[in-house]
Amino acid sequence: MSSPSFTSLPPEVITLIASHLNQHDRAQCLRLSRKWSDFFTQLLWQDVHVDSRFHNSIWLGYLLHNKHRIRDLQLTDPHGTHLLALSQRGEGSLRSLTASFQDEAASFLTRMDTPGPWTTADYLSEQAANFGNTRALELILTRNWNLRSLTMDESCFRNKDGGDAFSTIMAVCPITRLERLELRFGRNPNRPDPPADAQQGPDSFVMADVVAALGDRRELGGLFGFFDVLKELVISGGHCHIDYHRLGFLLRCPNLKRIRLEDIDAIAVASLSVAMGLSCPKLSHLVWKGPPVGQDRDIAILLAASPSGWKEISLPDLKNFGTQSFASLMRRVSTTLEVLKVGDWGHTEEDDFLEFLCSARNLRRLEGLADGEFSGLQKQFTLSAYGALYGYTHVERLDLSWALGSSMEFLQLRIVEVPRPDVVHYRFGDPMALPEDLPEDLDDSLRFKVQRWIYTQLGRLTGLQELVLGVIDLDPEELSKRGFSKDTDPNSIELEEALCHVYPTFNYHTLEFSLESGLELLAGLKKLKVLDVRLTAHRIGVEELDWMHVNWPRLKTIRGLDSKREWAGKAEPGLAVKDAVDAWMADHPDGIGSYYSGIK
Amino acid sequence: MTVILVSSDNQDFKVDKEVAERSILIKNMLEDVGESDSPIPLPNVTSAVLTKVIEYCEHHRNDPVQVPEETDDPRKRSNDIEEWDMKFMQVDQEMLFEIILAANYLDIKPLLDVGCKTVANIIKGKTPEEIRKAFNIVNDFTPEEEAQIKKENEWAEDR
Repeated sequence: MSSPSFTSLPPEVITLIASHLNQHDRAQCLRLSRKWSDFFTQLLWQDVHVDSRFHNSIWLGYLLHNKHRIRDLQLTDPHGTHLLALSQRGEGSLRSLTASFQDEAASFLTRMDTPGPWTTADYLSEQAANFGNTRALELILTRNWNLRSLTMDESCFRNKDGGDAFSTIMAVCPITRLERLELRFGRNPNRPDPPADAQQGPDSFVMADVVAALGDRRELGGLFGFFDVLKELVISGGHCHIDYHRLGFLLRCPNLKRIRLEDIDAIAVASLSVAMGLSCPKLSHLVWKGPPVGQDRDIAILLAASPSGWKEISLPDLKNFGTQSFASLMRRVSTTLEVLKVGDWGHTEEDDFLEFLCSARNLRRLEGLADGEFSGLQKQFTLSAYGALYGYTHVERLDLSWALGSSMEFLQLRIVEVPRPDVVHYRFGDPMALPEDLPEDLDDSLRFKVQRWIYTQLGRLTGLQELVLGVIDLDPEELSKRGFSKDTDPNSIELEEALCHVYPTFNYHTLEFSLESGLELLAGLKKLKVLDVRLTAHRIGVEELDWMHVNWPRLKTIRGLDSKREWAGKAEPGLAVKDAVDAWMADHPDGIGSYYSGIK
Repeated sequence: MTVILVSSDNQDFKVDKEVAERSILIKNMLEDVGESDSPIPLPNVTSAVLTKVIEYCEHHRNDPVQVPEETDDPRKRSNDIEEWDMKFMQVDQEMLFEIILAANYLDIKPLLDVGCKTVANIIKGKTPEEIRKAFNIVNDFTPEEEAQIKKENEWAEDR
């Protein structure tokens, strides 16, 4: 057998290699030899962005010649787009199309439905007529019935004279294979936004108008067919008003599962909710990006808009949430919701978090901000341990129990107010007082009672794979604003002091994770893979690691274990523990759990 | 539970079933055969290559099974290789292609991906002449043909 070389790789492998190359590098490979030329010509033309490069008429010629090879097409240049639209080569070849035009070009396109023969006057009147980019796009859409993914922005929905072409575009949209549709609405200079007072959204008009607008269009599905396989829809509002009539196409999307909303305005929140509720019975995933706006009631309706109940919800923040919307979210939480991601819990109060924990039945994942997403003041999902157990009554509520159970896989919550007399909080060299609502006569029985209650709740989450108690890392930009480089140790005391009035800071009143405090109550978490204790005052030493090794066989890593901050305020014992932990970790390079010791 | 893999040069390799099952080919074979301790012959893989492949599978034995990428848009694909994999791939070119071929044959998608990314990284930023040199490719174009082909595809080059 001859030794293998680049040339002996099978075509499917070359294709895979090419998928990691950009157009420039693919164009170089094409010039290697005859064999590579044929192969990479195919690959080069699969993915084309038609921009002003193709004003070069020689290149434009190649583009038209290779049109049938294009699978993924991006259109921004009107000139190239118009010529592509006229060419009938390679009908049905496109898989994905993205269109967004900066301007209009003089149109070559004639109104093909006007019978000839054409006079010069006809052509001139045609030049002045409506048909610009949208006309070209219509032709491309009608000829590409295999499209699986389509992205269009406002420039595609506007005729040359500024009139609305949205309905026509949606009418010619290929429906048989389309799985993903992204519509990026925006400002239309020829159609002013509604007056500012309408933006405030008086209570009465939205519902009635949307229902009326949709009612008019119920027959649309029958006329133009249904988007039968459309599963994912992205709607970007561009912070503008979305005309209700534009939402009528939702009636043609009976199998929609995922919807993602970006930068939609307050009115669109309400109108979309009604449209979705009427039209899309299978909706289960909601992602909301951009600043969340809208009245309390409208957000509440959005959270209730999925007829079968949302399974996954992702929200940037709850700042505009009032009683109605929070209640609506809680109804989802206590019924269908499996995954919830919230960046900032806004004004949510202690009792609400507790109510959440005590009502979430089917939850699999509770996620907060990811690392680096933090900027400014953001509230994380926080459990006030002492407050939860004693409340204002100072009477034990040990019968309080969380609804979360074995379905839970990922839990990100911040635990505060665990009475920790073992930890003295030093700031600028002086010990700080305990939080005010903790009793002054703290003793170990109270300290352990609170912790054992939390361990008992956590101990029931036998399916848990990741437990994140630490606070997410700061956004690198935020750090540099405060004069820290991105390499700053997140556990460093300087950083902590500098950020003492900014969230997140080191939390002194968190779970100990020590055997003394009842760690053995967590022995059932056999699937735990990741424990994150960054910026918490954990007390994980060698004994705890030995216990975890046996009881959490799959535990791979503990993030934040290397904290140099010792717990008792005296540097030396803490550093001795750290050294012992470092040595233990060095003996277990593949992972903490016993499972990993079996390797080699 | 362990399984025995036999390389093309008749060497036996005893590995954990879980490690072997990183290869979808082997996983499917084991499922078809059922409970059996007969060795699995791998006539397309030499012992040198199999040693490397097993090393990779051992290191990645606990990785979650790859979910299909949400988008197959090449522009959004990441070319990052994690550090261990990068070091693992620091081998001569012959071994690199052997590993890729083995990963393709054994159906170990993540290893195939890492191999292809490594080759792509070699190609990136090079001129055709440099790429030919790197991979020992013979230029069989006439100068006229080469000029023509360059002209036809100049649109795709960075300017």
